[in-house]
Amino acid sequence: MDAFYASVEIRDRPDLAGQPVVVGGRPNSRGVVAAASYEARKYGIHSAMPSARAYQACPHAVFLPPDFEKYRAVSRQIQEIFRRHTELVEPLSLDEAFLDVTRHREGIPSATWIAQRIKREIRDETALTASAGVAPNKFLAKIASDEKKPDGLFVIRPQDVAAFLEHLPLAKVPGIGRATQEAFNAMEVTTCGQLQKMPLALLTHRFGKRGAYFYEIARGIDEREVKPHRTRKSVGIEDTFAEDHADASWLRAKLGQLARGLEKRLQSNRVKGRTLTLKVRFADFHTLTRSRTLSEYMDDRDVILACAQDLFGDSGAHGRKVRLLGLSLHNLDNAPAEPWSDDQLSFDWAEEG
Amino acid sequence: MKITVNKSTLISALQIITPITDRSSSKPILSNFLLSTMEEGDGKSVEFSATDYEIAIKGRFDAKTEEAGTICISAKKVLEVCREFLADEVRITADDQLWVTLEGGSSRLRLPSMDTGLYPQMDMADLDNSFRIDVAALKDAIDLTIFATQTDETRKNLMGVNLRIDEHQQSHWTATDGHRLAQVHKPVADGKLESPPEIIIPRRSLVEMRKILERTEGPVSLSFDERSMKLSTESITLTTRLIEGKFPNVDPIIPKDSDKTLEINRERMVNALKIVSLMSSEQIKPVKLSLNPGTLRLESERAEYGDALDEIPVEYDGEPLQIGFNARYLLDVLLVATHGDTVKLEMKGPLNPCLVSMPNDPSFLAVVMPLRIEW
Repeated sequence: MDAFYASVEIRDRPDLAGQPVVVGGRPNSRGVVAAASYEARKYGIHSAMPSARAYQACPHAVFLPPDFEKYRAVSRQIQEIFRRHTELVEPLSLDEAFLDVTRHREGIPSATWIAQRIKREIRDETALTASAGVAPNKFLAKIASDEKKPDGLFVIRPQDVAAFLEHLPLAKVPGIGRATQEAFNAMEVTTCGQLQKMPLALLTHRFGKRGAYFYEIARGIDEREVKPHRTRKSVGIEDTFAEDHADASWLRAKLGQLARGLEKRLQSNRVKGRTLTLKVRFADFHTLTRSRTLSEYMDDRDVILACAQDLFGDSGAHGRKVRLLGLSLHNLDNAPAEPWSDDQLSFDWAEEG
Repeated sequence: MKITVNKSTLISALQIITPITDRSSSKPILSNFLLSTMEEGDGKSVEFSATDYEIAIKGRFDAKTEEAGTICISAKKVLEVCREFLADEVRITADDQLWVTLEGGSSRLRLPSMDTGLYPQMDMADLDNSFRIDVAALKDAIDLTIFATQTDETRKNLMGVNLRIDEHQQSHWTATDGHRLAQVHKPVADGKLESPPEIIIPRRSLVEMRKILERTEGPVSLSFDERSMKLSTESITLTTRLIEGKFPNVDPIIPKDSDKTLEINRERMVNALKIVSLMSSEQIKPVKLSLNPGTLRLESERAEYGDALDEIPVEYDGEPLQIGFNARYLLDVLLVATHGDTVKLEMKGPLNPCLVSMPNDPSFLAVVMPLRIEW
């Protein structure tokens, strides 16, 4: 989001439009600036600057105390917009997030289109502007998002990465602060292009583990995944019927639907699971669950359905009126799991069982 | 009830039963345990017991009894409280309103307890087939096999250790998860054996048995029928349900035609495996073994991460062999095969099982299937 806190305040007080607005500590306090509107930035005011200095720079600026409750509400709104497009949302702060749109919920094939649509939805629904960066990885996307603020969209296509990095100043690279910059300056390195010429051994010798990071990002390499903060422990789906059903073939058909729905959820979350749980709630609200753990992770509807049918057969539900069926998968492969490999050979008899 | 018990004795008893009490969230009553004064004898001991329907544990320890009675109370809570008490003795008093007072030194806590009638009955009777076994032998049998049991639920019959007693008063313990196998036999005494030739003891029950054996000396007795098994030591008994099902016949998978044999220093091999597996992928730990006359070389590599190598001199003059393994599978065996300084490896080809044994103890063998690795 562009000048997030300040933009929210201006949105809610149209009389402030066009004025330098500073959200943060009072000018006569020891507080600091939390956000400055683009008007205020013209005076050199930026976040983390002491409010007293901001006041010196621009005495006629409007100083407002932050209202975090309000910002959090807007934050929830934009998170909700992000999640319409993908489950893979990694929030960085109240107003910033990484989105992995390799697989878009509605199948939009272009990340640039998606970015445009998200920007439009944010503008329509919150009356605020956002800037987006589209790139093949997190490091480049973060830099791209800062390229064209406010209300900007900057795209780094894979084929443009090398040219973009050639002249990218190190100051713009996340993780390179002033001290690191000075160290590089002393080696006459000020851009990623120059950084590319530094051998890995030298970088790691000088900067340790961070040296390896610098080596990679200078080449536009960043393998970090977009990680939704909450690691899912399970993925599930359930359905309460309009009326209770006792007919086994009807219920089994319903299981097929649930298996398909579960497969879809698993795939959009990019997880597989090993333990399937069937939940059956009867007309009298008595609920039972049956679980089974397979040796291999599943996300395929047929595998899920076969397992669910077995569990249903074992559940003793026959002939009873059922009001709800649910399927959920635990033991997901996003957690450290028991080692397993196709290359591990088994005893001959073990294959049969 | 009014009793005074030694704090560390009580804690020790609670440590044995809490693993089977605190996992039963679906039935809150099972988070409790029973503590009763003993009727018989001189009235100087109390009995503690708990069950989760799969495993039941009953034991006794000395106590000063002023007033007889039984309480049913949260095992975890009592353990927590006792651990904090500074005094060496704990005084437990129960009133008829189900309140239990725990006193240790100047500290005093009052806890609610449950109606003892709600707690499930535990049947601890001796079972049809029985034998006696030395504690050390039983501990050894568990340690040498439990690592090879299967931990997921794909094949229930592999989730425990198979026990069979033969006509020569030998107990045979076998475990396998389909990728490796461990087998050991130990002598038993006073075997009275009728119907079931063999049983499968759940892994979890063996873990709890192992903890009890750690505090036990002298011979213990085991009895079993088709469904249950009972372990009796001097002061504690444990009964467990057994895994129903048939354990596979493992004789055919124990290789008999291996032509590449070497003996190797166990500690040296363990060390090399540990070092080399530091550089293999996190999930599976692929390690390459190259056997050549005079040396065994262990290698691993992890893309964009690094590689590792170690060489162990061995007395070997046969044909060279390259074979891959999950380092964890080899380590699991070598870490328990501690009778003697050396282990013996017998191999044939890169896709054939490897037999691991201890030259100093012919009662044990393990089989590990290889991991297919690109060379």
